Amino acid sequence: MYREEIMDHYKRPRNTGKIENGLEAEGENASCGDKVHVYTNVDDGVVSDFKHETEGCAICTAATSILSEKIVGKSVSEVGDLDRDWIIDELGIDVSPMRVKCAVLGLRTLQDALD
Amino acid sequence: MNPREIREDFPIFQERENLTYLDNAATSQKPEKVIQAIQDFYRKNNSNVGRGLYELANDATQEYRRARKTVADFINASTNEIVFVRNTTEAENLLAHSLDFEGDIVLSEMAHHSEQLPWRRKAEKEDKKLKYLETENGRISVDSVKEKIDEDTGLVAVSHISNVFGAENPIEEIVELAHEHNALVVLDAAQSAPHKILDVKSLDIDFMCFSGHKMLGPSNIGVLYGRRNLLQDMRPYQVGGGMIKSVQKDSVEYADAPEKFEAGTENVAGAVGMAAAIEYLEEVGLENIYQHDKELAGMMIEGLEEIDGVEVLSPNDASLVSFTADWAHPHDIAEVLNQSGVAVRAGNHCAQPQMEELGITGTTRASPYLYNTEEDIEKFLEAVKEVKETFDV
Repeated sequence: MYREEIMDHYKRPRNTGKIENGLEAEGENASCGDKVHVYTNVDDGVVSDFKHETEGCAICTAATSILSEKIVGKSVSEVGDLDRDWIIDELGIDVSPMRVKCAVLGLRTLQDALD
Repeated sequence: MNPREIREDFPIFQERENLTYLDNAATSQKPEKVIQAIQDFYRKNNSNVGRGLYELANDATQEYRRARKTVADFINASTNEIVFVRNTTEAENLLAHSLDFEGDIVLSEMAHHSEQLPWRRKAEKEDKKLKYLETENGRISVDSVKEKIDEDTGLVAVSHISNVFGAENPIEEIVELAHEHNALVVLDAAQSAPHKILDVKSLDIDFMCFSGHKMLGPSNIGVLYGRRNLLQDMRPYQVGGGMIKSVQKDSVEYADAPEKFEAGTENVAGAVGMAAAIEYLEEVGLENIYQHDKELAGMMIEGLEEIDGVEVLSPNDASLVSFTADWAHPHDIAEVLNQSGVAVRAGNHCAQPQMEELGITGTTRASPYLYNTEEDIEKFLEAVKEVKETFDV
């Protein structure tokens, strides 16, 4: 489950930081303490920028980092249609039932920000 | 006692040979004797209890009474002081609902949610003040006990052994001070009953709760102990069949305790299974079990402290170990341990306020029991080192 690419994203998450004056949202899994703060911009109905601050386990951090590499250029409605299967597929690992909430936190928080 | 022999009494370890089960603070595995007792009840003695006039009903009633007697003897109480409930959570809820008292409520920072939320709800409803005993090195601080329990206190609800830290709290000091101020004491013994001889008379407590499933018994059967006079004065929790003396159109007279608190068809097989579990524990000897669990926890504490970046939160004499590591999140640790067949718990252990106080999101917790061996502990420590190799690069 902790294959090299996941560990790489966990230790060196991509696209971290803030975007001033854009859209943003915060998400949290209270039961395990994962926290994600996402920042995004929309240009003509398309996600034009994405950054995040993630504090959490390897699965949550890696999933949000991978999300950050896939999301720019997608339309708001496309992002709205993405579901847990999509992010788990992008992670490329078997996520156990108890960890699904870790994997989807970044995506759900982004969807909140765009809502 | 020989944990290797004991292990053979537990069918799950034959089914799952690679399993190193170290999540006993959450729930325990079941010996053949308990599984058999439950099966025997359904095969040979199943009937509603306390109602039917036929032989089978009499036999079932006898079994249920015998189970209550076994529990009563186990904690040195009388049978009419033992109420069968679903679990510790239900016992706490029953008490918070049915017990009237003057004065404020004292809880602890380390309290399991089940041991604080029923009382917090009561405090809100009845406009009672809440105070929290502080934690010091994994135990309730004695200074804080002296500071917080006073003439305004009406009830103190605390854990005997915390499910986060695994160490015994200063119950003697708490009981003495509470009783000095005529306050009642509710002891959550969910984590102590599986390991320790409990004597409600020498503990001098007013109420005590524990669950069958953490002490080799089945799930959904637990115990509320209450002093006879206190239980008698309490309102019923649920109302319905089997808990009344008489019902007229315009009046009801309730049965005496414990029946007053056991509305509806009881979990008879559960009670029978719990009694079998108590008998099994007594055959092995609780002193031996406690000693063994502390030795294994001590091995884990010692081993973990040698690993860079690990912080152990349990005191040295605890019967389980809670720890954090600066190189991995508790859930990642537990997940990697699982790959080696090691089952531990990770998270906030239903004690979010305590985690907040400690400034952490959770811990990894390994809790041994009578069937764990030194090899289990070695395997656990090896697996933790493997997690470090994966994460700490």
